Amino acid sequence: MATLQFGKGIILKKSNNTINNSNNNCNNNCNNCNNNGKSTKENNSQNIIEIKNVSFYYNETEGLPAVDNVSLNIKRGEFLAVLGHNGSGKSTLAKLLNGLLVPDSGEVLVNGLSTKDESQSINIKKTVGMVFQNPDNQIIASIVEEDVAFGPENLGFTPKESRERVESALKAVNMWEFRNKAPHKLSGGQKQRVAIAGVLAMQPECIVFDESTAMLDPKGRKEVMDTLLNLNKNNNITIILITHFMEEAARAKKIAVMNNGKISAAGTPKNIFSDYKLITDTGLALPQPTELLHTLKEKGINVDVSAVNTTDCIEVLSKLLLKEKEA
Amino acid sequence: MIKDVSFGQYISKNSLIHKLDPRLKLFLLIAYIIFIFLASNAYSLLFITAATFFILFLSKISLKTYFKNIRMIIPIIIFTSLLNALYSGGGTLLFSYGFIKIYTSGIYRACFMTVRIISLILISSVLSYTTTPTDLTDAIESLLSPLKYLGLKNAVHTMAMMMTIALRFIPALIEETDKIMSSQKARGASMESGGLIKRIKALLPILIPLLISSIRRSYELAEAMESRCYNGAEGRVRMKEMHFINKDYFSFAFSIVVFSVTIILNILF
Amino acid sequence: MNLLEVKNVSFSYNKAANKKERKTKNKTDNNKYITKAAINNISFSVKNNEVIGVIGHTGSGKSTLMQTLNGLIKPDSGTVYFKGNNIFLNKKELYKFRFKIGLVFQYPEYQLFEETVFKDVSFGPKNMGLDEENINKRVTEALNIVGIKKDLFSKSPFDLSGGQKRRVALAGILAMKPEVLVLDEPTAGLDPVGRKMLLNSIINYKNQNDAAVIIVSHSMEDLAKISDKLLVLNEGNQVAFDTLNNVFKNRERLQSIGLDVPEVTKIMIALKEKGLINNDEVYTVKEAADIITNTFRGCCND
Repeated sequence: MATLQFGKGIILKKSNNTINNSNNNCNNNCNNCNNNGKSTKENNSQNIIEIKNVSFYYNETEGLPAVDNVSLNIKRGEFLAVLGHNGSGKSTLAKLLNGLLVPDSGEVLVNGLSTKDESQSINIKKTVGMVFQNPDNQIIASIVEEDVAFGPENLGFTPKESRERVESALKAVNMWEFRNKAPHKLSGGQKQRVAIAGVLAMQPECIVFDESTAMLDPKGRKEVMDTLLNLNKNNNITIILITHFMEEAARAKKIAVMNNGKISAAGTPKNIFSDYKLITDTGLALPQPTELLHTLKEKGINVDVSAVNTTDCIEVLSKLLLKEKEA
Repeated sequence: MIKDVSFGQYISKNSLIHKLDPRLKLFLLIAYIIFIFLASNAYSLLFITAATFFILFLSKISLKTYFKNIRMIIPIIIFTSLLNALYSGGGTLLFSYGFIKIYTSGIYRACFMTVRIISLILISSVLSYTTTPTDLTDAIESLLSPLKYLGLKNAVHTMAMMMTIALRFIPALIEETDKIMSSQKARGASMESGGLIKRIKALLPILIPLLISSIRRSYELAEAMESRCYNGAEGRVRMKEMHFINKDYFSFAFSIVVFSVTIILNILF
Repeated sequence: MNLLEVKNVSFSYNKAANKKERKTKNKTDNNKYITKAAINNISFSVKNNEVIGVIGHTGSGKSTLMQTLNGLIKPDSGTVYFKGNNIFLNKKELYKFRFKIGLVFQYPEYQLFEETVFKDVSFGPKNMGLDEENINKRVTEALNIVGIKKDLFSKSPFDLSGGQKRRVALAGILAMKPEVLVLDEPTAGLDPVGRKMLLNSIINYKNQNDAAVIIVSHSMEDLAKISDKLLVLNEGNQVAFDTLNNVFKNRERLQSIGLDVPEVTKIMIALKEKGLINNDEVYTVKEAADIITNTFRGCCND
């Protein structure tokens, strides 16, 4: 067999997870992590993550960078969607955010801490949680509650504290009644919610969803989307959603479009989806309602194309047709 | 079909044995095995076998379920019995045919060995039927914990983590194997026919994808674990605490009595 | 004539498990495998050059049904006819039907195993016992249809991108030149461009070979674009087997089993309710745009 390459799976250079001595003192102020901005006094900056001129190569000797001189600030409490075709570098970007990968040049700051600083590795991973694509490959234990406890156990919480965290995390994703089940008996959406609970139990300030809905059916996708919208709204957790589904991105507050390792555009869903050229050039698609509006515009009808969901689209078209009827 | 293989033998019941601390259960199992071997005459062996049956009764699992496990080792029992029957001389000659001679002591030895093997299997089944694989892993980890003082802390933890992950992924891998087999069958692969070499060759289309997907899984799992602040044994505190309760002390005392009586019977007769 | 006909097919995984379960009834739910979805009395048929879209939730029995179509699962009752022949009639001949009824599993790229793309695609034709010339011709054709360029033929399939791997896996089935192509969620996990390319490959194959296509998908929008008829499943039962119009007209029935019409149809239904357009039986953006433009221009001419 020729050389096996597991795509983005193999990390050629990854941060060395050295033993973290600051483990215990960071546990103490963790309970108020969710009241964001208060957790660390020196960090009342409104950006939770700052990406500064970051480049990353999977293979430095040959080939193009997977992430190419990207700069982006992510505000506290924001809901950011990252769009891009396969191989556009968006998953690499995701892994740079919590220090799974470390930039070759530039810097990623989480609450002002650089991911290059190995002594802060645990602190950063605790602040920026990750939910991955394949629900099966991120659940570690054979029982739901034990899996959710994995994070708190690693952080060295007392059994009592861990229990409390597991309970509140499982309740937040509506999986409390499944706490004694084996993960492989659950549906895809349920497994993904367990994975979210596993991250929540670390009480992160930000959660990155790396194509976490890609392998789910519509029902599972809805479950995950409802959960993450709820976490964003009610727990004020910053959400970064990497997805191929335009309808999901349309629900975000802000969209960043990646292409060839660069961020080619960033803006509100309305802004992004009104730009037909951008969408086609970067290998994306439009949500069906927006596609309808764009098609009408192409046919010479003067219509506002910025509606990104069905309700808005109906409104725009109703107004348009009514006006024409009256005229 | 592969899917029918159920993993782990745990049978959920609300019994005293189920509720015992898994560490104690594992420890006592080892002790019972040792004492079954130590029982050197019919009285002591029958006594410890009776105690074993009493434990089976306490586990609330039907004898039929237990004896399913014995069915599988019947060939071994027959083989050892025959060897014992044929090669022990002494007592009166019961049967002779050419060079085959069977004495009463041979029959006695054969019965003795059979009872001993059956007791061993039964007592071992108690552990596997009444303890979940996860509990068992935890028990092994804590029983090995003295090794930590020999500077092997990480080794013990790593072993236990490996077992946990293996238990978690066995169902997934079984399912995956099944799926890959079906996919290759849909491409006309046949796995049932042909000579040995042809059959081994026919396995490649299944083994290679399985291997590749396992490697991919392990990378993804490693990333997920790292993202959840996994750092080996360092600073890790388990949520599940194991405490000895009255039931445990009682069972421990009961077993000590059984072991003592076994030894006394050994000495008396 | 019907190319493939499915008649009253039922299958349950449990009967095999039942025997075992009775013995160990005391096991908790925790220790049973998820019971795979059974199917109950499914009947439908497909003609040459026809596309049947299959919809239903996870657990509706779609995947089970797909595997009965090429004989990987033998139904408990009912049977499958290919060109009038009962495929389950002779167990020894059954495998031959697998070349005629090509089944592409979900995430088919996980079945790739050979050193090169070309070799992997030739696995199927080789199993058919074809000669080398024929194999080469079929493999090249199949790879052409899925849009894999010549310079990738000798590459390892594991070096390709996700979308390319998927298309190579599809080519592995197409190279057997099946007359019926059965696909289980072929676009799952792909990006928009990848989805489009894959669906185009499938339609191209169908048109070039006059083949029938049976395609499972979660995307109403995709199915509405390519299907002639829809088969709707719910918990193993057949809810409908009918034209797009007849299936989508009964929106309440779809909603009652947790499905819905395509997004664009929702828009058109709302507009019709407001009396702004007079036809809401459209399921693709193109048709919808035509109707709105016509209404628009129609009213302007008044």
